Amino acid sequence: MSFGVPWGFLWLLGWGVVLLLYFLRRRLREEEVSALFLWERVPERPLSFREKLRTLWDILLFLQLLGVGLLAAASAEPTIEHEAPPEAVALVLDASASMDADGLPAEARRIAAEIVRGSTGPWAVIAWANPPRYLVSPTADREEVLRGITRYVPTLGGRAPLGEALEYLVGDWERIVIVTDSPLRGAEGLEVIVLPRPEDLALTTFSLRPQPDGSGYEAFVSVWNGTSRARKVPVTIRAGGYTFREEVTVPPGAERGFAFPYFGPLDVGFVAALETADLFPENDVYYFALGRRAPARVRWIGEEDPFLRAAILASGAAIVDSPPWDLTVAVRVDLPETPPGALLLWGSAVPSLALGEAMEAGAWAAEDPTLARYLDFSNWQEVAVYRTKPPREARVFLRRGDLPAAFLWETAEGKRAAVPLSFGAAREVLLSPDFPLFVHALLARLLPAGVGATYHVGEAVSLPEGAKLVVGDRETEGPWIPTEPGLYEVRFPDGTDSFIAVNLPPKEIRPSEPREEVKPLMMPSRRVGVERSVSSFWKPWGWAFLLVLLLEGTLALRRW
Amino acid sequence: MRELLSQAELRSLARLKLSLRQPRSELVGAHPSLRTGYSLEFTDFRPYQPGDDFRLVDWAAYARLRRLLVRVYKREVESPLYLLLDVSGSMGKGQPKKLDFATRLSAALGFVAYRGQDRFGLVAFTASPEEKLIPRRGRAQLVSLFRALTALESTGTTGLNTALSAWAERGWEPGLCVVISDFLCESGWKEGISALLFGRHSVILVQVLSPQDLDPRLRGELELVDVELGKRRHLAVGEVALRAYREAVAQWNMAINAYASERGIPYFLFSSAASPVEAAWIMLGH
Repeated sequence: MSFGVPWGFLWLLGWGVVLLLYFLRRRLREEEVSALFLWERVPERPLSFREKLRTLWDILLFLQLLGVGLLAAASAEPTIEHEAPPEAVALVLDASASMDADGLPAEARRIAAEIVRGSTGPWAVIAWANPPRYLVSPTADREEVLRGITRYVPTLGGRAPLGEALEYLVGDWERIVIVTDSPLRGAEGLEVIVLPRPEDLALTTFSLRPQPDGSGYEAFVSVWNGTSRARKVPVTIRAGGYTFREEVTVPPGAERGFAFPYFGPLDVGFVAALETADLFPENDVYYFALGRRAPARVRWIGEEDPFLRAAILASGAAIVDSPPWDLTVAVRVDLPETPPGALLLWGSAVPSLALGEAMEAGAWAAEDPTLARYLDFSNWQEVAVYRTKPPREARVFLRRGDLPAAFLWETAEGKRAAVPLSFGAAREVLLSPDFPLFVHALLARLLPAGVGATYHVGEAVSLPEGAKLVVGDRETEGPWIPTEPGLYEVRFPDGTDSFIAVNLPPKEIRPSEPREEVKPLMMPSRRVGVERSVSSFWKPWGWAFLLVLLLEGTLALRRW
Repeated sequence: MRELLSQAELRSLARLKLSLRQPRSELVGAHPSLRTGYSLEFTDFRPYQPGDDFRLVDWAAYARLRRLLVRVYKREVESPLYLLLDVSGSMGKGQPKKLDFATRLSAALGFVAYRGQDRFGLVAFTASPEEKLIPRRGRAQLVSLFRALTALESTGTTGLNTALSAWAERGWEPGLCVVISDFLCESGWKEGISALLFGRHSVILVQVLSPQDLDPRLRGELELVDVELGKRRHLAVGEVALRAYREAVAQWNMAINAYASERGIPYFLFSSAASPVEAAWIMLGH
C-alpha cells in the first residue's frame, strides 16, 4: 500500500487535541444521585490501576479518535497495489460496410466497452476491415482502450479473411471476442457476438447489356428482399438526364432479377436506386459504367461470308486489313498454323483441331443460358456439324446430339473459339435474328473487355497509361483503390473520357448470409501471468469518517 | 394532558378490586368488616337479647327449638383510598423517572377504586403534605385525579416523617393509605408510618427506585451531587465502591421490609422501568 499525499497524516495530530479535551472535560464531571447519604456509606478508596484503565474507556472518545484517524487516512489518499491473474482480451470489431447499418456501430462500441470494463486486461482492439488494422494496440491502459473504441467506424469496403485479422494478435490472449453482424462459419473456439441486423432491401446487381437481337440495350437489376414480407419496391435508373422508374415485387427472403429496356445515353455513368427507406441505405444504390470500348479490330481470313460479316459489324467490331488486330476470324479454311491472339474458327481447322465428317443428326442443346434463352433451334435442322475433338480445357456451350457445335478455350496465345458448323443451304437460319445473336455471343467472349467495368470498394484499379481519374477535386494516376462507392470519371490522353463504377463488395450487400471463415493455423493460447493493478480507496474511508461522526453525534445527543 | 394509561391497560385493571383485611370505616360500603351489622350475607345465630330488632328473630328456629334466636349478618363498610405520593426532587431522577412510574401506578389504583365504587383522594408530599384531591367517588373524581397526576412535578426535599405525621393528624376517616415513595429519606420514615397506623388506616408501602438507584453505571473520579440537598462528595467510583453502594441500598430496603413485616404492612419494591399495571396486579391481584 502507498499513499498519494503522505502529509495527510498530519491530521493525526488531532488525536492530541481530542485527548486533551477529553481529560479537561473529565475533571469537571459531575453526577447527580438520588441519595448521597447512601454513597456516604461507601468507604473512600483509591482506584486500582485496572479500574483506572476502565474509567478511561469512553465510547465517544474512541469514536472521536477513530474519526480523526479515518480523516487522516483519507487525506493521505492510500492506494493499494494488488496482484491478480490478468484476463487478456482481444476484441475484433467487424469494420466491413455491412456494419454501417444504422445503430450497429453504436451497439458494437457499447458491447466492446462493456467487455473492457468487465475484464482486467490487457486488451487489444482490431478493426476487421480490408486490410485489418489496430484500433488499439495491446495495452493495459483501460482508458486508452475505451478511447480507442470510440474511434471505431465501419469502412465502406469488405473485410479480409478472419485469419489475417487474427494474425495481428501477437502473443497470448485468453479471450478473443469477435463482434460482427453476420454469422460466421469456421470460427469455432472463438467468442462471436452476432449483432441482430435490421430488416433490409438491397440492390444486388445492376448492369446494362446489349439486347440479344442487337436492337438496343436493356438494364438488368437484381433486388434482394431481406424483410419478413413481400415488398413492392420502386427501382429508379438514372443516367445523365435520363430517368427510368419501375416497380418490382420481391417475395420475402428471395432475390429476383428484372430486365428493363433502356433507351438513354450510353456514354455516361448509370445509377440504379431503390426508392425505399431502411436502416442500411448503402446497399440501396448500385453504380454501373460501360466504360471506354473502342471498336474491336477484326482480321478476316478465308472465304467470304456476307452473313457472318454483317453480324460481326453489327456487334460493333471493325474488319480491317492492317494490324493490330483484336481478333482473327478464319472462315471455312484449313490453316497450316495457328495465328496468334484471339481466334474464331468458323468451319475452319488448325493443326491442333482437325475437322471430320459433317453430321446433321441429333437435337440442338445450348449449354450457355444466354443462347438457350434467345435462340430458336427449330430452323437449325439443316445446319451440319463437323466431327471434332475439342481440347480438354474447352468449354462447350452448344451441342447437336453428341457433337460439340461451339466451344471455347484459352491458351497462352489467346482465347480460341471453334464453331465447326456448315450452314450449307440453311438460309432460314442465316436470315433469322438467331444468327447475329449467336455471333454476338461469341464475340462477347472473345474480345477484350474495355476499361470501365464495375469495381468494388477496396479492389485495386489499374488505369491505362496516361489516363487520369477524377476523385473529388483532384486527379490521380496509376493504381488506385476506391474507398467508397460511386461513379468516377476517367480522362484519357486523347481527350475522351469514361466512367468507373464502384460498388460495395457483394458480400457486404447481403450481410446476413453466413460467411465461411478460415481460422489461422496458430490459435492464440491462454496467457499465464500476473498483472499489477493499482486501486485507490480513500473515498470509502472518507465516508466511514462521516459515518463515525454521525454515530458520535447520535450518541452524544442521547447522553445529553 | 398526556395519557397515563392506555385503553388496554384500563381494560386489564377493570378486573381488579381493592380489598382490606380490617376496614375500619363506620360508613356503609362494599367492603366486608370483621364486625357484624346489616347486610345480605348471613353469618350466625345468637340468643335474643332485649333491644334486638324483632325483624331479626328466626321464627322457624323458635317453632322448632322453642328458643328465641336472632340472625346475625356481616357488616359491610366503606374504605376510602388515600394515594400518598412522594413528589420530592429525588423522584424526578432515573431513566425512566420514578415519578412517572408513581403517577401511573396512582392512576391505576385510582381507576380500581373508581370501578369498586370507592372514594379516593390524592395527597402529594415532600416535607409536608399537600391535599391535591379530597376523597370522593365517581367519574369526575377519576378525571380530576388524572389531571392532578399529570400536573405533578418533582421538587423539594423529602420528609417522610413530617409529611405523613402531619397528614395523619388531620384525622381523615380510616381508609387504605398507599404510600408511594423512593423512601430515600435520610431523616427516616418510621414515625410517619406509625402515625398512619395510629390513625387506624390500613397502609401499603410502595417503594420505587430507578435502575440507576439500584445498579448505578458510574465509573471513575466523580463529583457526586445530592439532587435534593445539593450536598457534594468527591469519590473514586470503581468496582469496590459500586459493590459497597449496592450493599447500602440493599440494607436500606431490607430495613423497610423488616419494619413492614413486623406490623403486617404490605411492602412492595418496584423498579421505575417496570409496568405500573403489572405492579397494580401484583399489589391487588390474588
